[in-house]
Amino acid sequence: MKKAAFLLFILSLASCAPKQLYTWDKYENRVYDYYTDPTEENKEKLMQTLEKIIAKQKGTRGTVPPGIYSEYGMLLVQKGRVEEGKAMLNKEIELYPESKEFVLVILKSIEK
Amino acid sequence: MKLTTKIISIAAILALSSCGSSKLTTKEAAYPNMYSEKPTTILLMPPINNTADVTAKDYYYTSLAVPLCERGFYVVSPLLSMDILKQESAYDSEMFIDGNVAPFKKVFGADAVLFTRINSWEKNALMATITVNIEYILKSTTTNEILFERKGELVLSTGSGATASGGLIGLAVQMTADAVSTALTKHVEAARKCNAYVLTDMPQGKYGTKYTIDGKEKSQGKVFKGTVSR
Repeated sequence: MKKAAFLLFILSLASCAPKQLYTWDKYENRVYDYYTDPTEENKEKLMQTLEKIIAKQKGTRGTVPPGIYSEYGMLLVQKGRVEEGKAMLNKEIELYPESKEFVLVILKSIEK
Repeated sequence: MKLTTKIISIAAILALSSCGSSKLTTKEAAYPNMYSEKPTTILLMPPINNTADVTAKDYYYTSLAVPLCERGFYVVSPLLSMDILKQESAYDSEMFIDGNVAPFKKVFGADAVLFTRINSWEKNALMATITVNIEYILKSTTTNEILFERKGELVLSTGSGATASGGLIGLAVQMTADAVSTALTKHVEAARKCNAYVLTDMPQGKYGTKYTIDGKEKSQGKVFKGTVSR
């Protein structure tokens, strides 16, 4: 009886847990660090976090959040990995067609 | 019933009813343009900082995208849009907040542009709080209408604060710890809490589970005043 009550309690807690559309790892901290201090070290840390977000999503949508592929792509381009970067930027368009106009502006700026 | 008692009763009822009126507002009544225009893509403009703390702008600019994505919107990455805004001489939000935002549709494909104006950002080390006075304004790039706006004051907890249990020694230890440790992180967290508090009133976007069906939900109203603890 006690076990059942305990199980019920745990289940009720689980059902109360906020359901996020996406999971973000340490994204906000890394973005803040890179934005305020754009060193190679902070860039590297941000890229690692973006890779984690892309590799595993536990959010209810089960897909990569808006903007993540485009940021990762741009950082890859800055690192000299241009083709990989462009592929990531195109993935942003594929996943979020509404990003097309903006991402095309970015892609054009890479070609210059 | 005595006259004074009657007057007090009537005043109390009036006071209660005026408090309740904003609580009874629905989201579709508070933000009708969100439901008629259904914006999908949001561009974040650099916050307008009217405070003496120059870093307050950074706390907000880097902490707005996640809560808006979680409300179901596509948010143009501020890391990427920042450079283009600078290239287009559009980095100064003051120039656009009361003007025409249609050009942002063309360059960024944005349906709406979010402005934030930080009016005050006051730290209280003794109470381990930050009191912020802030405005959020979402404008349509199609009609130039305001789709969503909220403004007000929030007291944000940045730590365990001064509690009676620790006494004076405990308080002194707490203050020292607060001063030397993660003060910066606490400010970023405070900005996040503020965003979370304000944006929960925003009707959900395309990827949200309640997209177009949250109109009857209670709105907290366009003006807010509250406390957010840890």
